[in-house]
Parts: sequence; C-alpha cells; structure tokens
Amino acid sequence: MHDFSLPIGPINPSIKEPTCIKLDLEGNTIMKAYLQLGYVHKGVEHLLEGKRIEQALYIAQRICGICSFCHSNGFNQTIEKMLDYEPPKRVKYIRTLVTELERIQSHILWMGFMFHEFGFDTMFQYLLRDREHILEVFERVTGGRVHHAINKPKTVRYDIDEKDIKFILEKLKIIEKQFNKYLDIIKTDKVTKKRLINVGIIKKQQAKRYCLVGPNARASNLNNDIRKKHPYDAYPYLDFDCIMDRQGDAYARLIVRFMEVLESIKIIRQLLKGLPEGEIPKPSLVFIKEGMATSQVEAPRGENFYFTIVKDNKLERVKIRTPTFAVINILPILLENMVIGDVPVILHSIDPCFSCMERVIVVKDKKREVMDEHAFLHKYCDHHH
Amino acid sequence: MSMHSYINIVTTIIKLIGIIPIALLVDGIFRKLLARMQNRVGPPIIQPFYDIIKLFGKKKSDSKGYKNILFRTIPFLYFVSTFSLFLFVFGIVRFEFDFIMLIYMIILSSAMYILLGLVSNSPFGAFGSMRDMLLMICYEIIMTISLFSFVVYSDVLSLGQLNESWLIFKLPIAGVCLFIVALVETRITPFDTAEAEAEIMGSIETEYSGKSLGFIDVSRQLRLLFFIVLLVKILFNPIGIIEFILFSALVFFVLLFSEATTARYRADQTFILLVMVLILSVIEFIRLYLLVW
Repeated sequence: MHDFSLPIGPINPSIKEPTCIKLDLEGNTIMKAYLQLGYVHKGVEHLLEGKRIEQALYIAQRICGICSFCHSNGFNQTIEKMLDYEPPKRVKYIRTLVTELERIQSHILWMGFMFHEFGFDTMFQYLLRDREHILEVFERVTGGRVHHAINKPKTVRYDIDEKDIKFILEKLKIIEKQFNKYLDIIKTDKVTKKRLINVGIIKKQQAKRYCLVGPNARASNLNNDIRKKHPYDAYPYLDFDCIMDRQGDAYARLIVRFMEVLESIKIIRQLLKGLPEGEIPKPSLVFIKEGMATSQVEAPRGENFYFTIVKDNKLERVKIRTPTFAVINILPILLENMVIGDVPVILHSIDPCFSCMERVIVVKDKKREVMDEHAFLHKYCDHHH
Repeated sequence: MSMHSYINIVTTIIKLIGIIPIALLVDGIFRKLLARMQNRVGPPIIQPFYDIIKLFGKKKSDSKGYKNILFRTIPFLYFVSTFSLFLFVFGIVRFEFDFIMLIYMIILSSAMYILLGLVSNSPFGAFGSMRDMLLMICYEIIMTISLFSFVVYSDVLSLGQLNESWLIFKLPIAGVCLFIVALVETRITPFDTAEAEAEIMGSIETEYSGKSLGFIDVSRQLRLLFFIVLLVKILFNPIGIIEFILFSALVFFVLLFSEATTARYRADQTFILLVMVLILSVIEFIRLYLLVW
C-alpha cells in the first residue's frame, strides 16, 4: 500500500466550518495528524477593544451562531459584577430559560450532524425537524430564531406571559416524546453502535490533563459543569443532575448529549413552574468608570470564560475562552492510530466550533502564522517559563 | 433476411434505448420516495433527466486531467460495460453458459469503476478505489457462487432457459447473499462504504465533471435498475409483465427501506461482514451439492 498525506479540509463535507487537518497515512491508518487553523479568524477580541458597553454586547452575541446567548450572558455577567448589581429573580429565570433552550437546540443540531457523519441521513433529517420546534419557541420568546438578542445590562428585553409558557410546554412535550423514541434507536441500532463504541476514547486522566470542558469531559467521567460548581443565574434554585458517563468514547458523548437534552427539558419545566412574579426593569444605559471582572457560563459545549477590563465606559481588553479552545488540542492525539473512516466521527464527536475559537494571529517578518494560545506562549514567550 | 427478423432487430433496439429513460425514472422515484421518508420535499421525479441534460451540455474542461486519455475514455467504457449487462437479463443475447459471460461483464463493469478512481490522480479517488477493490474481492465471489447455485439447481445451460419460479424459497440463503451483493453493488447503506461522502468526499467521482460525470451518473442508475431486474428474474421469475413490475417494485422498496433506515459500516467492518456472507454462500453451495447429486 502507498503512503499518503491526505488533507481533510479546508472545504470538506465532514467539516461544517473551514479548517484543515493534514493526515499522514500508512495504508488506511493515521500515523500523525496536524491541525491547521486560521481560516475563520475574525479578530473578535481586538474588535471589542475601545467599544462602548452597549456596542460590545452586540458583537459578543455574534461570536457564535449556535451559542449566541451564552456569549452575551458571559459578557453581561462581567458588566453586572463590575456594577455590583444583582438582577431580579424573574430576569435570572428568563436568562436561564434561554440558556437551556439554547442547549437543547445546539445538542440536537450536533446529533443530527453526528448521524450524518456515518450515513444515517434519516435521523439527521428527523432531528432537524425537531429542532424547528425550539427555533419557533425562540422566535416567540426572544424575537430571533438564531441570534436571540434578549440580554441587556441589568435586565432582559422581553418578558414572558402565560400564553408563552403554554406554548413552550407544548413544544417541549413533542421534543420529549420524539427523544424517547430516538433513545431506543440509539440503544438498539447495531450499525450506530459499531461505528461509535470504542472510537476516539478519552480517558479520565487525559481529560484532566487537557482540561476538557462540558459534555466531552462529562463523557469521560470528569465533572466540570459550571452550573453545579459555580452556580449562576437561576441554577442555585433548581434541582437537576449532571449527566455522566464512564466510557469516554464517541458513543458516550452521544448518550451524554442525548440525556442532557432530556435533563434540560426537566430544568425548563421547573423554571416555568417556579417563575417568580414581578416586573422586569427597563433597559438603561450603564456607566463604569473603571473595573475588571471575570465570569464563567456553561455554554452547550462547555465552560465559556470571559475576562473584561473597562475604563471610562469603554472596553480596554476582553479575553474570551470558548469551550472549543479547551477541547481542540486533544484532537490530533485522538486521531492517531485510527482509520480514515473514523475521522469524521471523531472530529465531530468533540463538537468543535472553529469560528468562535480561533484567537491568535502572528504577523512577523511578513510571514502570517496562526496559532493557539499554548503554541504562542511556547514559541514567543519563552521567558515566562 | 426476412421481414420478421428486421422487426425483431428494431424492437430490440427500441427495448435497449428505452432502458435509459426507465433507469433515470427509477432513480428519480428512488430519490423522491427517500426524501419523503426522510421528511423532506425532495426533487421532482424527472430531476435525473435535468441533471443528465445539464451534465451533457457542459463544455470540455481544460484541466490537466483532460490530457490524460484514460481520464477521458474510462467513463465511457464504464457506461458501455454497464449498459451491456442488459443484453443478458432481457434475453437479447442468448447462448449456452451465458451466465459466465454475465458474471464476467459485471466484474468488468466494477473494474472500470475502480479504474475511474485510479486514473483520476486524486487521493480521494485512490481511497475510493482502494475500498472498492477490497470489497470486490468478496462480493464478486459471493455473486458468482450464488448465481452458480441457482443455475445448477434449476439445471439449465443459459439464463434465458431459467423458467422455474419462486427459487428464493428453494435456495433462501443464496437469495439473501445475492441481495446483499446487490446492496454493495448499488452502493446502498449499510454497504455504501466505497462512496462515503463524509469520509472521502466524492470518492471515485471526485475529479470528474461534465460529460464524464454524466456517463458515470447514468451508469450508476443503470446498475440500480439492472440489479433490481436481476434479483426479480432469479429470485421470483414471474411470468407476466405486470407481475414482473410488481415484483420489481417489491425489490425496489426493500432497497429503499434499507437506504432510509440504516447507517453506514466502516470499510473494515463491511469487509468482515462480507466474508461472513461468503462463508454462508459456500455453505449453501455445499447444501446444494448434497441436494442435486
């Protein structure tokens, strides 16, 4: 057999965003994988510098298309911490509601593409049909199907009423019924099991060493759930479980996300049942002379970290650590010694979102170089070590 | 030549040319029904006609590949070798031991498909060919053994003489083996490993465009129709034309159902499965040996 070097990407049906993975092959087996990033670097952090808080919120919402609310929520929390302001309980509940709805739609989309990766197109289409119900809820509650710009400093833009609650509960009932059906399929379908079990195993030790976050860590029996560890918004008042699995393979990641959707439905039911009475404050401008704060939010993919410095009501520096940033470094190691057929499954199983992850671009001696933070520190900041 | 033989030749030609629109139509129905099963609207039934007309209307590409003569001619040869399969199943060519020729032609057609990937000078094409070759080692032997089982059982010298109906109940295992081969050959899940688009992009067809892709597309559709006809002919062998269409529809739906409800096996998993099927077909042949002689 020949030795190949096969590029996966930048444009490839198995990658939903442009990125490039170069594979060194021996026959059908991958000897080494190289990750080449930088195709969708947007320079968001630089874009945020010097903006007013109201402007910056709009940019933060547009960092990611799937978890748009989690970004605005993370940014908002830093602002509220600087103001030393505690929003009313009703606002907290509405924020949590949107977060959990977002988790459901993100996981459903991920699952759909996961099934598509190994040729189960019928499930893919069915899951996208079900995702439509959640998007309808978003349209009704927040006014936008994809970018739900409901957050404002100190408050949210829209309140929800009895009719909305009834509508949401109806839609959740449909999703829950469908998902119980799909769970049977996943647990019994032989081909699905053969394609996913023992593929891309991450051990607990590895998960700890690479600081994995979110469902990927939870599938390896490492609980990094910010909702439990550092509860924010309405999470302290809620009763829910963190879904865990021991296996750490692609199948475990699928099951964890599947159960998380059902868990989110449970959370939303609790939220709607215990929604506190009261008015939500009207949006108003905020002024911060000087301040610095961090926040952590559990996005669908895992921990979303924000660090913000404000000076004279303008942003001096924003540091964003998205979940994919923590996960992506393990990808080349997962791909080693696997076969070509497993590449799309492994790649998709960690749920990468490249456009919100890409951070550092170095231009030196007219040579453009793209790297993550770790590589940057290693190469250019040796005196730190 | 008499008047009668002239009419015979004309009807034969009409029959043969008529196969292509039928194959396209079958593919159109396949796509539409699959889309409805997957909760999509799907393309119109005559979409394959639009596709083919579009592809054949394209101008010659000026890529480097067009200097390679194999790159240009193999798609046409693939089409011809696939098209000639119909000569046998419709009884247009009839001679003793013609089933051996049929098996040879099926292998030739598959070999042309593999060659398509190798001459296209693309790593994805090479991978597709590699996978198909790996599978071909198994499935062509399975098909040969199964076809021989049927021919030996009914004790005929050519496929045209095959006049026994409901052979599937007499040789059920061979029937299942033949069906699995049809799944692999027509690239229907769970065995569409050779053209897994998420894994190796367009696989063998990655580099092709225009007329070449048109020929490849038509050949793929012809193969689907051919295997439906072959399965009906050998497993059921109905007498009337209406029964024939009904049984074809049955086989068509089973294939469609398989495509809609299963995921794709990995290449090595498919290979192991096919080896199992190979063992099954050999067992059936041994059983037949005890049965007949």
